[in-house]
Amino acid sequence: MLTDHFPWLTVIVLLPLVAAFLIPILPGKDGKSVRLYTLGVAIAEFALMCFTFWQHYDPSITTFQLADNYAWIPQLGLNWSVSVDGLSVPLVLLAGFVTTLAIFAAWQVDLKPKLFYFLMLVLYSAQIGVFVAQDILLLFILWEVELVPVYLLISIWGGKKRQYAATKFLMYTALASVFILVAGLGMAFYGDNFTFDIAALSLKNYPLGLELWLYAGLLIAFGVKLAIFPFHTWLPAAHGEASAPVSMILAGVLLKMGGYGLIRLNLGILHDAHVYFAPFLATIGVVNIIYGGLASFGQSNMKRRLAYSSVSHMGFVLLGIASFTDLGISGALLQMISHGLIASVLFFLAGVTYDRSHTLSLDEMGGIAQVMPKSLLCSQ
Amino acid sequence: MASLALPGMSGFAGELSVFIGVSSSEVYSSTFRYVTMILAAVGLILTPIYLLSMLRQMFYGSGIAPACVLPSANFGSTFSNSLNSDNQFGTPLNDQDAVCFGTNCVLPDDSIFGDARPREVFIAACFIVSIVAIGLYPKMATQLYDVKTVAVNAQLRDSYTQIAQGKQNLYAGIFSTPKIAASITKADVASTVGMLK
Repeated sequence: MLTDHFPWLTVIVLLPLVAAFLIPILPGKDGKSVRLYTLGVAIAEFALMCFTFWQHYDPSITTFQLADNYAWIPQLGLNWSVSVDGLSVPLVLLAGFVTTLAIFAAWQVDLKPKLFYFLMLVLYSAQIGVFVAQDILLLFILWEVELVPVYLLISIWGGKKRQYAATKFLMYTALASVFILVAGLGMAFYGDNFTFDIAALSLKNYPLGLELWLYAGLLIAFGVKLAIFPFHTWLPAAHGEASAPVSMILAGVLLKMGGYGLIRLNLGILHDAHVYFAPFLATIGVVNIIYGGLASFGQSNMKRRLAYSSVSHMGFVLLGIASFTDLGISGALLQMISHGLIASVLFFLAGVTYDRSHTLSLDEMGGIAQVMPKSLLCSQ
Repeated sequence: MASLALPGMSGFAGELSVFIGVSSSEVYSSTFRYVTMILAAVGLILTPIYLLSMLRQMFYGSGIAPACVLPSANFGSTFSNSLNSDNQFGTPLNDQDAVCFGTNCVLPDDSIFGDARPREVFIAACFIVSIVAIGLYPKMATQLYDVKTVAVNAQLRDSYTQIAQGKQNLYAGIFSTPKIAASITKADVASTVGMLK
């Protein structure tokens, strides 16, 4: 099935991926040409995104726009189905903004620069893909694709305990994402028509028992990503050990995938179950806020302290999602966007400080305002 | 600093809408809303404490006197002299780039210690401009998605009203779920309160 307009979104999703595969044939081994090339691609991608949404996106309607729909593997019923609506657009823009600046922040990569920038571009594609996929199987695939570069980025360019952190991240998120597949298959096979399309799934009428199980499964999957209370332990490890650009993407974009998934699938498809789960979500949200704040005190490592503050801020997203009011849900999305920006810049500044001091321990720092007045100004 | 949720920053707008959203939600009992709001407010108060204390430790030291002399005044001819006299480690330090940093004196020799470079200032400025822009004028962000979140919420309200009206039929489902959900909620609220004490 071909669409009559130019496939903007497909181009946006695939551009960094295609560009990534050109990196091995670039000349130069010191990484200078590669980083210019990567930054160029990232800026072009962000500009294309802004142009597309400026020209072709109408925020005043709720239906899916800019839809591209191609049969990919018809035997499986898998479609390349991408489109945007009000939930996707801000997060796609956030992902583009943060990732572009993260690539700009990763200016001095001495170790295997080509592989580093290759993985960054693959990650770029996968993130955007998750936010625009409207086919639950495609969403699952892109969700998995995004794990691989993050795992490698942490385990090769991370800090001292990088292997531990990377493996923990991979185990947690890969195991949790199985729940997306299971819940997705459950929804797809339920009823008369077999479909993976998220819009069609939301029209099905599930029995309450099934809906609650599906909701619980998806809540675990997205809860791990959003770092809600019992499943948050991968986050301080991963954020603490990843290098600054990767932490920026982890905190700025990847956490938001959990919140996006909750709003898109749990709230969008399983409304009835949400009514039962909402008080639980609000409670967990409050636990997150308090627990993250208290745990943050105990951290002497700057990045781990920031990571626990992310846990705390994600509690507000849960609280907003559970609120049943227009303002609450809108606030949850606004909180995701603002946290994406704030956490990214904090992790970036942590990286800047680390570049100079070679320590993340707060006890060993002190008095750097005397040598870094501009950085002090920035962080305020 | 922006995550302190000062007015004018985007964190403030987000957290304020969540606060008002939850507290004006008539779905929950007022007790539940009060407890939630109070606890969330406690969490909000914690944020500036730990972030500001982090900044203080980072930028102004943790109150411990620096173990080595800050280099700025000591470069040049006096540099090696002052190092020799103040050297606590008993090992000769290289006289180039042996920069002291707070109480941490064991830096790699190649660490270049300078203030933020233009590239870094640019990246930070990009973020800060957008944070302040969204904070001062949240509509810039919310207009992109408001219609959609209202639509999502309308569906949820429908389900809620239906379930609230037809309780008997729905509760005869496979699980006695409402009871489970209710008991979890109470237990968790209680444990949260207990944790705070």
